[in-house]
Amino acid sequence: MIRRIAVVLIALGAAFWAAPGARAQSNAYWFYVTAESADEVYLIRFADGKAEVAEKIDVGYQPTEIEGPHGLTVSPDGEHWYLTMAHGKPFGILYKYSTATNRVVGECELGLFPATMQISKSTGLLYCVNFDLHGDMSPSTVSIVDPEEMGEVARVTTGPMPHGSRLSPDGRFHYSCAMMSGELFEIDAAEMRLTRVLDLDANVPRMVAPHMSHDPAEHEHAEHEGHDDHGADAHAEHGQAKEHQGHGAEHEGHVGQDEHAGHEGMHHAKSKPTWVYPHPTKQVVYVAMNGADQIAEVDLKTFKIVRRFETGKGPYNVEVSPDGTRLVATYKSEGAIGIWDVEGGRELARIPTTRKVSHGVVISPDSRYAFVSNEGIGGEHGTVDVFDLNTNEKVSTVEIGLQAGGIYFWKQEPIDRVGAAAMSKEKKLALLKGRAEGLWNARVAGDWEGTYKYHFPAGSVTTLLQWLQGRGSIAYHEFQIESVELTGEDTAEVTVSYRWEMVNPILTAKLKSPPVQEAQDVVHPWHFADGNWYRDVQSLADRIQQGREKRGR
Amino acid sequence: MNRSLRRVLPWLAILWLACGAATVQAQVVAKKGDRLLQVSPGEATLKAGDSVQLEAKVTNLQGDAQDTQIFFFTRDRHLIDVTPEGLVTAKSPGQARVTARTAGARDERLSINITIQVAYPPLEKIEFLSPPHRIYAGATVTLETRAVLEGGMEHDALEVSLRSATPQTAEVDPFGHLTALAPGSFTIIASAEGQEAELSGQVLANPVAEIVLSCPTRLARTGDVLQFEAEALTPAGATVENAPIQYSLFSQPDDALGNAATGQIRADGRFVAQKAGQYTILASCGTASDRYTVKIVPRDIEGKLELIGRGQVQDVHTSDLWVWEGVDGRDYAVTGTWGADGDAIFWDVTDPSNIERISSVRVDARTVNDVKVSEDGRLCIISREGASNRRNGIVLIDVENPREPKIISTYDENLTGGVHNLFIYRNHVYALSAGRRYDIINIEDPKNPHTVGKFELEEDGHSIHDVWVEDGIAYSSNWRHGVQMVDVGNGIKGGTPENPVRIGEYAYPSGWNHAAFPYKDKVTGKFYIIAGDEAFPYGLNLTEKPTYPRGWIHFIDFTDPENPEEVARYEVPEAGTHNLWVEDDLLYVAYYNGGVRVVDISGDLMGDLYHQGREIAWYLPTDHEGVVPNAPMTWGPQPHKGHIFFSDWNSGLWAVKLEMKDQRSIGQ
Repeated sequence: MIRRIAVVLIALGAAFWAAPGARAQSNAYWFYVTAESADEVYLIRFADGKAEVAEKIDVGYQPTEIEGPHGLTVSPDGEHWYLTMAHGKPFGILYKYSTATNRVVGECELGLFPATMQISKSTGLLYCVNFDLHGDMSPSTVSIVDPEEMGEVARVTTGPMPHGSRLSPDGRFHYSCAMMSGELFEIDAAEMRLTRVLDLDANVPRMVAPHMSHDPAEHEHAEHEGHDDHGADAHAEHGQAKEHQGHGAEHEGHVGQDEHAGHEGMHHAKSKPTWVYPHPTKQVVYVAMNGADQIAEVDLKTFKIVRRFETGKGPYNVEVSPDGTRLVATYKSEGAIGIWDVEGGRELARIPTTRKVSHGVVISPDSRYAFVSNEGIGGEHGTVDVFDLNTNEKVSTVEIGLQAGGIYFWKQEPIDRVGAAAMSKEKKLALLKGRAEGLWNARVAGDWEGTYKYHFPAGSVTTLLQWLQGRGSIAYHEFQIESVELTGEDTAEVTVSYRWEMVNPILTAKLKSPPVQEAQDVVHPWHFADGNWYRDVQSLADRIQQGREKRGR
Repeated sequence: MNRSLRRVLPWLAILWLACGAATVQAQVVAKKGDRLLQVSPGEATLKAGDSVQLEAKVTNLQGDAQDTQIFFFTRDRHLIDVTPEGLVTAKSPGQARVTARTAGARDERLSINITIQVAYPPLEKIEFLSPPHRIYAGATVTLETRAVLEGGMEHDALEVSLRSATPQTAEVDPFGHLTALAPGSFTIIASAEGQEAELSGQVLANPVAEIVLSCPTRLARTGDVLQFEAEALTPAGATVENAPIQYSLFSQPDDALGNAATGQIRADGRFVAQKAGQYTILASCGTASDRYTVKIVPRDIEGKLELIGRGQVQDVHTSDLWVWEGVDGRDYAVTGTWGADGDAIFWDVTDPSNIERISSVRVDARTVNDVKVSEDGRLCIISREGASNRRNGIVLIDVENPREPKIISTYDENLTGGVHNLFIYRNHVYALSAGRRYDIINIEDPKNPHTVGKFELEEDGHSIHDVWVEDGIAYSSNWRHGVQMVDVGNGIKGGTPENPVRIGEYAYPSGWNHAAFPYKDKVTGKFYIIAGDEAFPYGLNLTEKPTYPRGWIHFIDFTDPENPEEVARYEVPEAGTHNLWVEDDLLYVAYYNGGVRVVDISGDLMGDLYHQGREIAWYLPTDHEGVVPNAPMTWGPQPHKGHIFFSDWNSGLWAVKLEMKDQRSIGQ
C-alpha cells in the first residue's frame, strides 16, 4: 500500500514538473564529453530543455595523429576534470584540467590505452583501467594515481582489456571488468590490491589472498594462475569450487581454439563485460555484458549474479540514477538506450539514439536526465542526446565532434527564477547600484576573474576562459557611479564616469592621446536575470557596428 | 613547573602542530579537527636495497588511539617501493616522498608526507677514460673521467675536480683540457668526495718542427666539403705519426654584413663554408703551424618550381600520396584523407597539367593516413584510423583499373589499434600497429593476407611512426628511439620478413624522428639515412588559421652501421618538416608551412645545408579556398617522370616541375 502511494506521489510530482507553464526545469546541467576521433572534449550545458556546446577544448599533443580522448571524470569538489588519452608514444596519458579555465594543469603517463576512471571518496586517489584494447590477450592493469600531484602510485593487475572503472559510493572498493576474460574485479581502494574476482560466464566468484595481489609487477601472472586460491575467508562460493574447476577445464578447450591465446588460461568470454556500476545505496553492482545482451546484477555480499536483465543488442555503458530507481544502459550495437526500473527489473523504454553507435551515459544528480553520447560512423559527427527520465523521452540533442565517447557529469546549478516583477523598484535599484559598484571595484583592482560574475548568470554559456581572453589591455583607475535607472521591468542603465589607461605596450606605442584618459557619463545597459543584475555583454562586432553607424557608414 | 604552565604546554604543542605538519626527527604529525595522524619515523635515510617500516596511528588530542584505516603510497616509484602498509624499500638514489593518509571522507581525511632520502652508495673510484700517457709538449688533449659508486653504478652528476701535481710539465683547466708544457713526467689528480685517482705519463719533447697543410683545391663552392691534410714533420723532414693537430680557421666572406658562422672545420680536417669568400685554415701542433687559404664561391644552383597542375581537395584535409604507372601505361596517383570520411581518392595524372579525379574508395575510418601501391601497380593498400568499430587495420584494393578500384580484402589482425603508416615491398606489407611496432604481412594472395613477422623495440616506452623498405632493409622512424635499420631480407644480418634482425640505430635528443629515407652518394660512396622531424610546438589549427610546425632534416652517416654519425642538417627557419623523398642526388622535402623544397645533397655532406645554399627551389602551395585558406601545409612529395607531385593537407594534390637556372648538373 505504502509503495502504491509512493508511486502515485512520484507520478503526481512528475506531472507537476512536466506540466506546461510550471517550473519545468530549474537547473542548468553541465557535463564533459569526448570526441575520440577528433581529439576534442566538449563542455555541454543543458538548460531550458536545450543542450548546447559551451566550449570545445582541443586536447592531445600529437596534432596530426588520433590520440583518442577516452575517459573522463571530475574531482569530487568539481574544480578539476581528468581526461585519459588512449594513445601516446606508446603509453597513454592522464591529463588534469581546471574546470574554471579548461586548461591543462597536470599530466602523468599511464599504461596502454588508459580509459575509464573515477576518484575515490575514501582515499582521494584516482583509479583508471589501462584498457590496452589493441594489445595481446594478456592481463592489463588498473593504475592508481594521486590526482593532486598527478603521479601514479600503484598498479594492480586485473584481466585482459579492463574497462568500466567505478567505485562504490563510499569509495572503499573499485570495480572493473575484463572484456576478454569475462571477469569482474574488486579492488580494495586503500589496500590497493585485488580482493575478489567473479567469472561472469560461470557466475563463480573467488577470493584473492593479499599476498597474491600486492605488487602488481611481481604478481602479474600469479593472480591469473591462482584460480584455486580462495583465501582464508570461508565464503559460500567455496563450495562451488568444483563447478569452477569444471568450467575452467572447459575454458582450456577455448584456449586451444583461440588464435589470440597468448596467456595461459585466457579465453574469449561470452559475456564480454564492458561496464560496471554500483548501486548508490544497495550492495549490488550492475555489469553490462556486451556479448550476452544482458545486464547482470551482482550481489556484493556473495559476489554472484543474482538477476539478469535481458537488454537490447550490445549493452555497453550503464548508470544507475542517484535515487536508485532507474538504470540507463546504452545499447551500442543497436543505436538505442534502455531505461530500466531497477526495483522491478523491467525495461520501461527503449529509445533510439540519434546515431547508430551509442556509447556512454551519465545521469544528473537529481536523477532527472540521462545524457548519452553517440559515436557516429566515419565522418558523421557524434551527438549527445538528453533523455528525460520522468517522461522517458528524448528532449534534446547536440552535435559534437567525431566519435563521441566518454562522458562525465560536472555540475548541476539551480537557475533562480525569481522574476523581476517580484521585487520592489527600490530594492531593485539598490541591488543594481551594489552590483555596479562591485563590478567597477573589480575593474579598478584588475580582477578580471572577478568581473566575470557581473556579466554572466550561473550556467552561462560563456566560460571564464573565454571571458578572460584579451582582458587586461586597459587599466581602470577610479570611477563614480553617477546614476542607476530602470528602463524596463528587467532592464536598466548605469551611468558611470571613470579614468582609464591603455597599458598594452603594443597599443600604447601607437597612442596619440595621453595614456590616462577620462570618460564622463558613460551609460552601460544592465539586465535582470535569475534574480540578479548583470551588465550586458557587448561583443566586439557589435561595438564596431555601432561605431560605423555612429560615423554614418 | 607551575600548574598554569603545565596546563598551557600541551596546548602550545598542539598549536605548534596545527600550524602545519611538523617534521621532527622521530615522527611527523598532521592534524585536522581533533584528530592527529602520527607517523614514525618522520624521515629516513636509506641505502638502495634497505627497508624501513613506517608506523602510523590516529589519535584524538588526548592521545587516545582511534580505529581508522591508514594507507601509504608514493609518487616516487622510481626511487622507492612502498606497500600500502608502509614498508618502504629504497631502490635508487634521490629524495622521495611517502604519503600516509587516512581513508574516509574528504573533509576528515588526514594526510602527511614522510621524506625518504635514498643516499648514493659511497664513491668507490674515479677512472680516467682513454687516458693519454705520452703527450708532445705544446699539445692539448681533453681528459674525461667517470665516477663509479659501490655496486658499479656511475654517478654522472658528481663533480670531479682536476689538478696538476706537476705544473712545470703539464697544466689542466676546469674543463679537462690538459696542456703539455715541457718534457718530463706529469701527474694529474682527479678528486671527489675524498677519493682520488692519478693519471701519470710523460711529456715528450715535441719532434714536430713543421706542419705542411694541404688541400686538393684552392677553389670550391659553398657546401662543398674539403678535406685538409696536415703533415707533421721533424726537423729532419721525417713524418711524425699521430701528431695531435689542431685546426682553426678565419674567414673573409664576400658579404661581411650580418653573417654568423660562415664556415666550420672539424677535428679531422674536413671543412665546409656557408658563405662565399676567402677562408684560411690553420693547422698547429705545439709551436709548429701552417696555413692554407681557399676561395669559396657561391653554390649557385638556383632553380624554380613551376606549377603544372592541381587536383583540388578543398572540403577535407589531405594526407599522403602515391604516384605510379598503371598496368595500362597511364600514370595515376592516390591520396588519403585526414579527419574525415575515410576516403582514398584516385587521380589520373598522365597529363600533370590536367589532373583528373577519377574515383574514390570509402572505408570505415576517420583518417586514411597512408596510401601505397605495389611495385607492379596492381594493388593499393590504405591504412585506417578511427574506425567506428575500433577495428582499424588495412584495406587491400585492386587498382588494375584505377577508375574502378575494388576492395579485395580488409585485414586487421593485431592491427585494430590503428595503422598510421605502411609500406609494400616484395609481396609483403609492413604495417604499423597502434604506434608500437610494425607487422609484416604476406600479401601474395591479397584475398588472404596473413602476418608472418613483426618488429618491435624492447626499450621501455618505445613507439614508432613510419617504416620504409629498400633493398631488403626496413628503415623505421621511432620518435625518441630514432631511426632503426632492420634486415628483412637483405641478408646483411640474415634477416627475413619472418625474422627481422636489427642492423643499427641512431637517435637524436629531440625525440622528433618521424620519417626516414635511405640514400647512397655515388661519388663518395657514403650511405646516409636522412631522417625527418615532426613537431607542433604551437599546435595544429584545423580550420581557421595556419599552423606553424618546427623540425628539420638530419643527415646520419650510416656507412658503418655500427657507428652512425649525424653529420649535417637541412633546416628551413620557422617551418617544420614532414615527409621526404630522394632521387638522383636531390632531396625533396614536404616542409609543411614551408611548402615543398628541393635540395642538392650531392657529394660529401657536413654542416648546415640550408645556409650553404644547397636549397635549389621551393614552392608554396596556397589555395584561397583550401580547408585553411592560403595556408601551405605540405604533407608528402614524390618525383615521378620528371614532375614533382606532392600532397598538401589543406588543398589536395599538386604537380610542379623543377626548372634550373642553367643546365649545369647538380653535382658539378
